[in-house]
Amino acid sequence: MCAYIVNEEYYSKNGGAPPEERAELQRLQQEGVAKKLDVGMVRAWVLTPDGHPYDMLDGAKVGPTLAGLQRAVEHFKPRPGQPVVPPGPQSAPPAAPADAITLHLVARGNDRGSWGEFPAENWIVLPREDWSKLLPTGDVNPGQWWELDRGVSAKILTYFYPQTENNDARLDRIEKYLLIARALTVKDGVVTARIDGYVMMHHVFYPGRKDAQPLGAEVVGVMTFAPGKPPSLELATTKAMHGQRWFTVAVRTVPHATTR
Amino acid sequence: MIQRTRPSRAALILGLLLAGVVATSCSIGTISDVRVVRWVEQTVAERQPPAEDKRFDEIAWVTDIRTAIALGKEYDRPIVLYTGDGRINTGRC
Repeated sequence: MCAYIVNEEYYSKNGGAPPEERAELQRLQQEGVAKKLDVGMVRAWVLTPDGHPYDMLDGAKVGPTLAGLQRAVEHFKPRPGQPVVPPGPQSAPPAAPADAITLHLVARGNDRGSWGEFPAENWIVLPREDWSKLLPTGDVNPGQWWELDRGVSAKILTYFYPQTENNDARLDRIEKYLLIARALTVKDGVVTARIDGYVMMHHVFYPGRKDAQPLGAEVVGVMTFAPGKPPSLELATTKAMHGQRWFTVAVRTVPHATTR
Repeated sequence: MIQRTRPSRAALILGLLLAGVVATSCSIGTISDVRVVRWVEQTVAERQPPAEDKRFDEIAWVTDIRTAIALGKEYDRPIVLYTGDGRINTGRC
């Protein structure tokens, strides 16, 4: 049986974890301290089937983690069987209004190692009032250009950063940015436009630090739309750097579950 | 929204130059109009997480403590509980 929780949801006053969940985490910590386990915030616990601390794994290293899991198997002797809940994608688009568009963003530093081996993802929901601002008004002709709405552009570009421990994506850290569309073709009422642009900001690697590193990214993309209809958008960085670290970003429109 | 009926690539490039983005070189114009749709489609596809990056999804997770304990009791299985800063499921952690 495996579970993960997001500490911010449990410790922050504005976190989404209900009081009963917070109380359970507090209970585990108290019992863990009493049991002289290495209790902390970022931890991999082994709990008994009835929910009491049994062991603490060194989750940062593969060997000790596997050894700890093996100890637990030998102690509890669980019966082999199917997972009790079906496995599935843990990063999925949130439910959104039917007339919204959802963008999936994948960002990755070009360095590898530990958690840096895995890409970072964001799901950006643009309700109709947002995506409609990306489109020009009136008829569109090839060669016509327009600047994408700055507010909506910022909502997308603010996530153009590689994997970092800090994930505060406040818009006010963006210093300069621009996304410009230019219609390439208009066929049967469907416009295909190229997007060019950039974003510059300072982004902090570690939460709470003040040593934000400069970040710059150049962006090229394609937006396809029929006037008044939800657009399909794809963006990719051509060059992007955070501090001394190169990274890439890709964004595309994806289907989403609909809210009621 | 600003709209123009004439292309203004020069204005965009000038804006980028002024912004200092292109200190060493500039990608604007290096991907031609003829290539851009194909290049963007291909690049976005290539940057999607491959299956080996998604092995986390092969584990049957629950995302709260009480559900984990309820299922642990019901199926008599010990529980591995990861408590982490940020969102391990999206890599923003």
